[in-house]
Amino acid sequence: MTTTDADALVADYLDRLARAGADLPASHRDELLEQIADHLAAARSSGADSPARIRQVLDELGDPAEVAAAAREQSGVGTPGTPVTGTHLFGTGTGRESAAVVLLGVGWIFVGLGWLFGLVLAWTSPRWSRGEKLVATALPVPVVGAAVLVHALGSADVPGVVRALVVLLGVAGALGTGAVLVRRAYRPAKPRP
Amino acid sequence: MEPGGASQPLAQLRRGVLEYCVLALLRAEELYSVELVHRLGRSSGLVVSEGTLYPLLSRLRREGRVVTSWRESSSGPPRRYYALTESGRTALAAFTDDWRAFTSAVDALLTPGEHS
Repeated sequence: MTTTDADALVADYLDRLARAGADLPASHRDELLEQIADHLAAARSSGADSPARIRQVLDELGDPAEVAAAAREQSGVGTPGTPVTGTHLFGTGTGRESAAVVLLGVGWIFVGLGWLFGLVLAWTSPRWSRGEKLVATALPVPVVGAAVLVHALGSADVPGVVRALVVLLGVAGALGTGAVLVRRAYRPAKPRP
Repeated sequence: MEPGGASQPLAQLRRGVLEYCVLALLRAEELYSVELVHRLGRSSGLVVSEGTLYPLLSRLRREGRVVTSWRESSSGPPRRYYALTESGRTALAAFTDDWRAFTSAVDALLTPGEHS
């Protein structure tokens, strides 16, 4: 019955938890380990320092695999071996909106069909309002506008730096607007009436 | 592991309701993390494995329903306290209304002779 035994039990539990949660996002795993370590430190400072009492506290915390599974669920990370469902992919994050912004903003330059995919993603978004979907649809406009302008300047006597600047402004306009749209998709759900 | 070997529907109900139980415990006062976990665990019997509550607390913090702060303790290490935010309060109020409507609808159906 030494403190060393209790230390070993705690260290072993934290080690098992770290391994069970290896696939969690690093910040989530670190926070979980810190919370559990705090919990154990609190239990020990309030008298639970014999190996028997520590075992009881660990028992009440639950199996590390079970705690890690709860963390996986709350982090929106798929359970190993379970395919990530559509709800996970698009239900908790804003992957749909981010993909739509990339495809509509600049993706179509490289793959023409990307524009169509972007449109489908944008208009099926549960997070954007109709107005935001319209703005998303218009995302290619700055880049197209810049390209048209540069083409029109082709015959005039304009330095290459100015042309590059026009193209850059077009791309920046599309990406900036896209960033605002993605941010808006992150807003918390409106409280129900 | 489910308390008292609860049936599958009850386990799913509990999972959905648990976060609002956390918010409800914080309605009147800030709570020390270990105290909060004990109240949901061994005191209420809602949760058997207390450790599974910490990831829930983290998610509520990430979603802005609760905030945490550190306090010095006279005995032992500093303590992490949880407090309800305005958004947490709003979510709790909305859920409380929904829950009352839900339970009275289900009660009416479960009580013999209350419906045809």
